[in-house]
Amino acid sequence: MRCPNCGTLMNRHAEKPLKGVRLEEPVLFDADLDGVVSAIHNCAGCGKVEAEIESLQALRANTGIKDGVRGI
Amino acid sequence: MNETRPLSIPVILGTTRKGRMSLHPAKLIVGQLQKRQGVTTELIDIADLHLPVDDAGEPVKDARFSAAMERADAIVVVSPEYNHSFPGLLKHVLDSCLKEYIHKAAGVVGVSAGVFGGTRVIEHLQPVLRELGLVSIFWDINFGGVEKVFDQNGQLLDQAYIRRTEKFLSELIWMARVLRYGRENVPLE
Repeated sequence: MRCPNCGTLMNRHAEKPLKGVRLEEPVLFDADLDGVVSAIHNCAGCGKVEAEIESLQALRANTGIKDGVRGI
Repeated sequence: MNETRPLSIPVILGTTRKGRMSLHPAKLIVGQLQKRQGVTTELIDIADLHLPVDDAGEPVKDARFSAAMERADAIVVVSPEYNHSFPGLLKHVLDSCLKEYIHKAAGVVGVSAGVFGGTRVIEHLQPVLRELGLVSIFWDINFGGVEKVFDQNGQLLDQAYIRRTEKFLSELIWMARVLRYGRENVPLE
């Protein structure tokens, strides 16, 4: 993903399963990992950190759903 | 960074009890590590070390264990939960080294017969790992109800643990690579 601050291509360096996140779309819940997996990106240009739920991005792209996540 | 030298990630089996079910998760982790390119691993069974228990640190140090920890870029500790914590002998073995661990990655695998999957032993190990200079990762593996996860022959019955192990190892390897770079290239100011 691109840095929203400076446009630099960010480095996807970690994944973190988020526990206890309430979801409108249970399809985002990964039963194997007992959570919703978020990818963590870091910008080498300005240091910005972004967390991204990739499956939510895909869901939005496929269905047009605007926002299905609460509690993050 | 010297990427030509493979990462060394030994797996420490932290119990000596007869019939220990933790052996099965330890073997699973070793098997998954062996599939990774650029990684070497070995199973270190603390039952094989026979450390004296009337002293601590250098006087009881096992030369093979010390060498394995010195060679390691990361370690995996597989520990059952006994009375909400880790086996005393595991602590004794870990305490036998110090300089060998500094700025290396550590991941913990908890094993229990109950539903919590060693959550409490994982938490109890965190301050110990920190004091030893190890850097703990934020992924764990919880083998709860372990007698239902493996059969008596050690065959994995719940395939979800393959994905959990892969995520755990990816994070551990990332941390191991970063810390090796730091140890070899970044001076303390």
